[in-house]
Amino acid sequence: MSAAEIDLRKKLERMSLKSPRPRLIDVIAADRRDGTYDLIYVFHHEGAIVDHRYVVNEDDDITSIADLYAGALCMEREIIDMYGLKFNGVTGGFLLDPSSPKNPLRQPRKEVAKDV
Amino acid sequence: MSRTSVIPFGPQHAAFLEPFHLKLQVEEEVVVGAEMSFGYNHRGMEYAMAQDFKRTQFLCERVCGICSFHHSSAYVQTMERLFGIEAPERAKLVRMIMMEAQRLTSHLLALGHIAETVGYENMFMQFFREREEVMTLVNRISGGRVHYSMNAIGGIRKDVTYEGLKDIGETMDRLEPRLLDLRSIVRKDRTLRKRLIGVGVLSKEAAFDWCTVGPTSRGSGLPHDIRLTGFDGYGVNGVKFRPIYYDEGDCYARTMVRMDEVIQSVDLIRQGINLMRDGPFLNAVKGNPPAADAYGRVEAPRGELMYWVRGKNEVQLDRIKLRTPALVNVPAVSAMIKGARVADVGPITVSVDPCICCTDR
Amino acid sequence: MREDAATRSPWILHFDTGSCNGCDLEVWALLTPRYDVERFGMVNKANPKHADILLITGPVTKKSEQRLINLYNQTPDPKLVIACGDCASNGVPFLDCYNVCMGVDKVIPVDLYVPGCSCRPEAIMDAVVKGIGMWKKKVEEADR
Repeated sequence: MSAAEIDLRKKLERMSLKSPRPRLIDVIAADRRDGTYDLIYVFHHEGAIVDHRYVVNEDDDITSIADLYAGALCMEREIIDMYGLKFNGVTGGFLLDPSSPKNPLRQPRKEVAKDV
Repeated sequence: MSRTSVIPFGPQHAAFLEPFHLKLQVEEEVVVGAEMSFGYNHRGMEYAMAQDFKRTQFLCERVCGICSFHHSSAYVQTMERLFGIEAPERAKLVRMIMMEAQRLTSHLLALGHIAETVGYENMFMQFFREREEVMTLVNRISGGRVHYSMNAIGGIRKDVTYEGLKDIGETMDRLEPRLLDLRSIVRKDRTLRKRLIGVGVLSKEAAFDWCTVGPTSRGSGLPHDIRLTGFDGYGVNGVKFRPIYYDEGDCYARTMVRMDEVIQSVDLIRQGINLMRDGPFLNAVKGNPPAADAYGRVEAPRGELMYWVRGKNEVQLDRIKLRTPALVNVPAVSAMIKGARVADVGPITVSVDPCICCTDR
Repeated sequence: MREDAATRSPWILHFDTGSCNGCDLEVWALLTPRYDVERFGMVNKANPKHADILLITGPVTKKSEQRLINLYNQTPDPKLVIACGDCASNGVPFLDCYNVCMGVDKVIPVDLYVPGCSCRPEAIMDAVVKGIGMWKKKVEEADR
């Protein structure tokens, strides 16, 4: 586990222990088009949206938060299907069939200017 | 020690309107575990919806036909936040009235569905008879029975006429005594009470742990309702509203939440009509969505519906994410189902009002 | 004798292959008091082996493709397939989606198409009534 991930996990744990307990709304992933992905944990806390944003690499092992919120499991499985990210101890195959295209929401990489 | 056997439910099953697969591990009559598989309705809407932000306002209604107007309201609300504009008061009230009308159709469907699942055909027909009244009403107002296509980014596409509002009011007057009759039947009826009370209990803690929303969480004693905080139409304009919740957490509590909300929706529609004033109904937007992101939330019939949109200064959107209520409510069935009998699996599943086209998108 | 009895009560099997539920609800509306399709002797049956007419909604997603073929094969001959709605006819509202087969007729043969997104109950009823005539012919041919 990298330092950033330990930090992520700690923050989410602290979030889940707050009183009144925040309700997890969603785990969102979005392609940044350079091999990294936004990972956004959205909570409902005291009548408003509170979000925690992280940037993860394609091949990072992300810690699952299914032990903090059981409902997070389906959201993580969906991200595995859509983007091919890896969550510890979570398997994909939630929405996609073997005959479907793989990682359909991955975007083409941004054109990076090359040194001549 | 009895042997565990596996009973498959679905994807095509009499109790479900839509395809989803439930693999039950059963010891004699008692369910000890359940495995769910989804994806039969997965079309790839999040990809298609990112292609053109103007077409998306009509495409997003096709995510789900039961809560189509809630989907488009959530989408246009998010886009209004992204563009930094505000819809006029009249548009917000029209949205609120139509959303409540659609909640009536959806809840009456869910109530009829649960009555049918417990084998109460007569009640099913009665709920659907009242539902048809609302369906023809929204058809007269918007021109469509299922997809209203009334929303535009910045307001509504076409104003509701004075005659239209009068028609809505008269229909509600006609409908209310019949709905109150139905509620007293649901309250007292032996068949429903015996089949639903104490079945499929979801405790308050478990409801929180599974992140459930809508009538599923309100049936477990959590008074979450996005109508209090999320959508602009409610609250700010002086609409009086208090969430309905029951503490028991069983199928009957969830059914009663829906039954009471049906009556509440009639009241909210009346309040909306009374608050309606003449005025503009559309603040049109120009240009493409800016490279920023925004959230939008709406209380759909099944619970909180959230949209998250990130633009990129083009016609395409960078990412659009939907968190539909069914995505969190339907997996919670596996917590309710443990220890239930096989005959109760149908009512338990239907009591969360599963909407697979929302879950799978 | 058989064709007379059979064509007075064709049984329906409804299967959702990934539609938005709009057409499914209209199929349900058909069974309820206002439209009441039972007066034509039609009953909605969940078992493919009892069914005569298949009402298919939805653009056929990749995952339900094989299930649809199974259901079609399990239904006894002669059978009739009705594709309800625009997406079942040609998949058009979901044109940009990656996980759909673009219409029921790409997977199984279809006899009747019902237009509309979502299709109105009157249109489905019209198709079903037309379908009874077509189905009668199929029964006669099978008996010959």
